[in-house]
Amino acid sequence: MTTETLAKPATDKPTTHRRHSPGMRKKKHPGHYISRAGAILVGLVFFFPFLWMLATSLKPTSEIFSTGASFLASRVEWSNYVTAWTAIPFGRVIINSFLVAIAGAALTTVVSLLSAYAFARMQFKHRDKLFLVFLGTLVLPQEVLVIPLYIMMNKLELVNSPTALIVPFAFGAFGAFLIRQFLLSLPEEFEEAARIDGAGSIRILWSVILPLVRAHLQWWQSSASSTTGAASSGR
Amino acid sequence: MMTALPTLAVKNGRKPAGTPGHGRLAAAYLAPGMLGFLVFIVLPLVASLVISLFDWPLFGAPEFVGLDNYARMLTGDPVFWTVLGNTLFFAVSYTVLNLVLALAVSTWLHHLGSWGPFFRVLFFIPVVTPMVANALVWRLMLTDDGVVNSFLANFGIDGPSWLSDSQLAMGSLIAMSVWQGIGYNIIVLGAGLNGISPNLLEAARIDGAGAWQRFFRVVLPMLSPSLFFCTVMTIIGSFKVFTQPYLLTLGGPGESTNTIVLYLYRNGFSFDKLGYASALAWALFVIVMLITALQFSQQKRLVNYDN
Repeated sequence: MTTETLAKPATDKPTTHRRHSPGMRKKKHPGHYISRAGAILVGLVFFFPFLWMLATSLKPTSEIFSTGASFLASRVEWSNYVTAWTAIPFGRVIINSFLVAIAGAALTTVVSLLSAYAFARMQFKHRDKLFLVFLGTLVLPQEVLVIPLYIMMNKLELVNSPTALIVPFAFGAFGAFLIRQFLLSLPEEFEEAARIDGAGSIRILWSVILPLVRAHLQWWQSSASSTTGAASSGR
Repeated sequence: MMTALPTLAVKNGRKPAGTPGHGRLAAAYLAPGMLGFLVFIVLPLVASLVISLFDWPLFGAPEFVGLDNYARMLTGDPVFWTVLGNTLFFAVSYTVLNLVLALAVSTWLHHLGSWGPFFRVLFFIPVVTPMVANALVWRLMLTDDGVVNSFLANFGIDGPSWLSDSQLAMGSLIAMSVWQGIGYNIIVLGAGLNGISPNLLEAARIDGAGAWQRFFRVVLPMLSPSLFFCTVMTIIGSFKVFTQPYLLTLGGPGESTNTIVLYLYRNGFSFDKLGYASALAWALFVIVMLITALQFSQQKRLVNYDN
């Protein structure tokens, strides 16, 4: 900002045009409106499948394939929602998804936080080598593991149980990697201060580290739980 | 226990010489993660290699066949090569399209001011909505009399069979996948763009660099770590494509949209050949590993890590 204010003559307002080319001196360039109109258009096209999903959900089954490009069929079929709710145990299914997502996220978070803390802050033999091997499995396609996991769950008689959807997928390296990277960028002085005040390592993790990594965790958990939902419905 | 943690011991993960470690405490912290890692990742990985050496039905006794599964895959099964070619085609087209579009869109959104965050969220929606629902609505839209063809008919264009024409089906899959996956890269690249200091761009501008020059000579090199991350993750993801062909085309028409993972899934769970499916899984693993290793070996040359 300062370099910019210095570099430019005082005639224009640097804040409004920071990212535009120097040619754009007027307050609102036509390109500004074109860009926004384009954004609305692209946004609508991009969002269209969801609108179509909604429109289709209100069409009678017999007309789904015959309505062409029309959003509305001969009548609005609200009963589709009643059918969806009653044809399958919908409440139960939603609860299952929530259960799998929440339990999965909670388990992954605890496990990843503990591992990440050890990898970021502790000294032990072969730490970096172990971390590299751990991280290397990020490349591993889940499909390579699916068949042995299926056999394993079959042997443990856990096929068709929520446990089989939660536990095996909670130990991936991604969460630990993300938290470790964040911890490395965090000044250690926070933890030292807590330690001097007499906090134990679990206490430090819970009261110092967790509040600091929370924002990072939320982002990751939201994507993790949505993929868990997809994975469980897909298999 | 706590006094065992030496102050200032690990700064940025580097180990000062001569400090004592904390093996036991570290072991306690690592135990849950590493135990799960061993049981649910390392063990299945080794197991799938073992299974690939067997003729292993879903139910019934496995029979050891040595490398037969691999021999059959490489020499006796033309479908494998078709499927491999399809997967490679998908991976290359999808990755290139996804990255080029994501780069363009994220740069655009970066300049869109207060509207940027809203559109970033909009583009991210398909990433978090279930892939199954996304694929189903695309199938509905792309049927012969679907909304896309009805729309084209308004302009007198006779729309093709997007999903049942063997020339077009793969293209439809790629389009749907880009729509589904681009939001993730837009977010990552957007964060990378936000991390570039405006001072650098300002300096380039003062030196007389035009908009394109600034983009290619300043923004792109500064963005290369994010781009590298996106490229690696997108390629890995694209080799695992399964849901889209499974729901949109069932691999057809013929084998034209069949991919490695779909073929693997069918061999394992429909054709009852877990051994052959595991061999396919290992082929996939080796290919993905090789490509990722190749990318990392080029990392120093292509990625600019100095700020």
